[in-house]
Amino acid sequence: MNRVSAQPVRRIAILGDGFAAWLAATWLAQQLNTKKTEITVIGNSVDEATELSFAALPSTPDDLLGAIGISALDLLIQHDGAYSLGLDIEGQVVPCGAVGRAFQGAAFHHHWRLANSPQSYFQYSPSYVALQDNRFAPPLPRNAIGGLQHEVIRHADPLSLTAALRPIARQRGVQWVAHDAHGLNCDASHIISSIRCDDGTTVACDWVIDASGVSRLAGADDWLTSGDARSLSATRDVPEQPLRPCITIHSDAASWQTRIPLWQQTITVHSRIADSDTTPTPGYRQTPWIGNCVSLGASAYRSKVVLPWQSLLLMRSIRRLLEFLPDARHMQAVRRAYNRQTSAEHAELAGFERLLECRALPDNKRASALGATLARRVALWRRRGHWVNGDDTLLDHVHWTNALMAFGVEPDQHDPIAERLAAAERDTKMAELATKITQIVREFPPLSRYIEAAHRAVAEQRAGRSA
Amino acid sequence: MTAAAIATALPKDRVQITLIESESIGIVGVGEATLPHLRRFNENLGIDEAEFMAATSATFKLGIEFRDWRRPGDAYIHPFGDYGNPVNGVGFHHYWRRLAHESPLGDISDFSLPIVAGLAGRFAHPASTPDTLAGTYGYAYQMDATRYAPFLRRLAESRGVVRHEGRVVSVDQAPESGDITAVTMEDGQRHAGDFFIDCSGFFGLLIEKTLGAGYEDWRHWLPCDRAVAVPTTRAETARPYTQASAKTAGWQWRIPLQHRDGNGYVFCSECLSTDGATAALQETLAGDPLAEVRELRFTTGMRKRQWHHNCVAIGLAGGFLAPLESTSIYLIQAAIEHLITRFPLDGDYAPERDDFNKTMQQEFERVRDFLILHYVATERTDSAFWRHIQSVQIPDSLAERIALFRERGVFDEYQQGLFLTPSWLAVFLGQGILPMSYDPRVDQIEEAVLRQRLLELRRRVADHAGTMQVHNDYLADYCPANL
Repeated sequence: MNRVSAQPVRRIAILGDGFAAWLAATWLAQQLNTKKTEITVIGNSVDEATELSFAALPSTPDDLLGAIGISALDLLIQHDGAYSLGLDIEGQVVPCGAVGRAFQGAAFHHHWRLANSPQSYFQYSPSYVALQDNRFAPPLPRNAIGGLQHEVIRHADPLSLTAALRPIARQRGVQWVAHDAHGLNCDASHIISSIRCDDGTTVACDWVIDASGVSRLAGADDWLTSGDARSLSATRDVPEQPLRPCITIHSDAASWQTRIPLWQQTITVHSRIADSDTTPTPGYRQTPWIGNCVSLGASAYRSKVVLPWQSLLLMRSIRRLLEFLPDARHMQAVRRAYNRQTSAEHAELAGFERLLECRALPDNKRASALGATLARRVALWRRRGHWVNGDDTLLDHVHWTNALMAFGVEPDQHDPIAERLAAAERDTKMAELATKITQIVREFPPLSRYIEAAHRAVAEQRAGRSA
Repeated sequence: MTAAAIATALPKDRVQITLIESESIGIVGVGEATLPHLRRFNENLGIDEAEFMAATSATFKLGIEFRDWRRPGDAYIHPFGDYGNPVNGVGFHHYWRRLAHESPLGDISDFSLPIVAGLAGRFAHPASTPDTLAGTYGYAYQMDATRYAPFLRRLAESRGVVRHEGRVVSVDQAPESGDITAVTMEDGQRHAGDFFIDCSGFFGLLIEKTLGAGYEDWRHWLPCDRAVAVPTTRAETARPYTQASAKTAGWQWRIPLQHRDGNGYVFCSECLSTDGATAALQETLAGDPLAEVRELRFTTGMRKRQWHHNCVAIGLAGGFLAPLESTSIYLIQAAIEHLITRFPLDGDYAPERDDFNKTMQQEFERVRDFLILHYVATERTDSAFWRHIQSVQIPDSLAERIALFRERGVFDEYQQGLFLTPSWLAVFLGQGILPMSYDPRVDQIEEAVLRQRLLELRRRVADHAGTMQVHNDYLADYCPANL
């Protein structure tokens, strides 16, 4: 048996002081033995608008916050949390989670189309039905309908979250150089040996994670632009009443606005076309890992329109970093694999943004705006309701098909497999499902009352403890 | 398989299926070993497992044993299941890799329940709880394919498929589109159709001889192009795994069924004659031959367009790879399932066709890479065949997979297609490709604690295998063959 011959990286430098940097630092410190691996965060400034674009956090198995020990209740109570059950894009609601249930081996949308149901498609979505009345309940088995369980997006203030992550990371052994990086010592093959900070100190490193925002400190110019240069700004306003469990997106010719409701404020991120050479363009790195430096967060992906899946992209990239954490001497193949998988996810999210942009176009114009690969997938969906997922799936078929249905891109034909279910039986099953959804959702409290109750319960618990 | 599956999946008033086959052409019938996916196929058809196994004289299969591949005398099993369990999201092999060189823990096979049970000749249906040891494996079947076809034919006919016996002598095409419109039989009967599925085997009567879809030849990667096959009497109790033994000009299979063994030698005709292969096969047969040795000729590769005009090629008409990992029936099943979800709704099926062709190409290429790995990850240079293999320029996709595993013990995972991470891991390790490093998260656990945990797992695997029933007894109780 050959001995292990590798030299794992022992000094990791993380550039940045925002959510992406501290999330990566905390996760790496939790997963690695920090006596063997030194992790240093270098940074002391953030762009607030970029940070606030991470305010929406999908609940998925890839969630890192829960794994780090920041629970859903922590988000709610300590980080001004709230929830949403879908996106409202200019009045077109895209709910979270599955719609209806498959019967007889055919997806629900085929049965719905075949039945020519008087109910709208999304009446079979618990998230959609709850959202209409501003109701909310967490997705728990007790409110699942058969296998149909709604999904939610958690909201939290990213600046507050970052402030909470810092001490956790430091407690786990992460060093913090509270100065911005201003230069790199780098050889011709893009291997960075140390980082120069603006206080004159130098941090030696084997591996660098660039989470400094729109930084181009390292690497080649591989940015794939997906549109005009855009400036990002953010506002914090008083919360809307009643509190709506929904992320609202508006657009006009020159801007996108995403409104994310929190408990005590509403965050609005504006992305406006800017006529300046220095304004960054939306897009993504095609090779987020160059030499021994990996870009994360806004250093790797910058969106035109703020969507919840940017946080998911960040979390998946951080998970992948750890899985592919390289050997200090051998990182050719892992680098290529990381870049393949991550850039495919970048392309997927950029494709979803394009779908939002061209949602109102007729089929032929939409196809040319989407690009060949995505257009082919949409064409097959349009024709017969069959969605083809790729290998690297940041978004699953539910995300895509819910969006397409919300935008009126419905299948022209149903899958004939759905015809195996007799019409009367299908109608009965669909009616029962709609009734059950209405009954279950009626039990959900209004979102405001749900959050108030959570705050009250925690306060009472604390009071009980101190007494 | 195709007729039964489509007749089951699609409503009768939508599709009328005519099956045209000739008893005189017969069934190749050497595809006797399967993969666990076939269970889902049979379940979808509503087939009772015990009834199917009795009808096809099937045995259970927990994996494939590869003998003499890395070097003569070496052996490993590619199991249908995991080695150990991931801990904290880190694959078991990283933990094993950390300790393997420090304190001998035994082979990684000792941590795989299907391997330990298989080698002990034992079997039990896996538990439905994947988080328990008893749920860490799957299984497939070793069956008599010449009996599976009539079994499915009866099923298809009971679901409305109309069968016509005889040979096709001519094919009619529409003059403008080139689409197939009808086939005419030697008795003069003419069968018109909107859509045709070519399951005519290597010959490709419709897809190639009529439509000229083209064939992508992969012999430069998979040079074996012939096989000789013969059934024999059972010489020993039926092992719950298939054997594939590397030979001087290819490899030899042995597939135990309930009533006989299937045997064959797959070889490269540039390195060995058919007579030579036949003699080599006969020398190593454990049982008595039950028939004459049959020769099969094939070209490894795939049809360039599996769906061309109004015709889809399924089975050998669509392509053929070395039968090393029992993928032939899987590729039939995959084509059927991909076709059903894209079944033409009308005459304008370009999106379905293009997507089907792209998907099937990916299926074939992923199987191809996995098969090539067996040949190239070897130290053998003891014959012209193996020396030739050493010079093969492997596909970039495979080169990347090997490099990634060597560098870090990880996989460029995919969601679509056959052979996921556990299978790649089995062959990498089995053929001696070891990662240079392991996942650093493994270092979170103290070495002594880790060693204790692994030893405990090894003991649990051995103990659990010991509680399983002897395979032959299990077969006798569950599904004795209808002979």
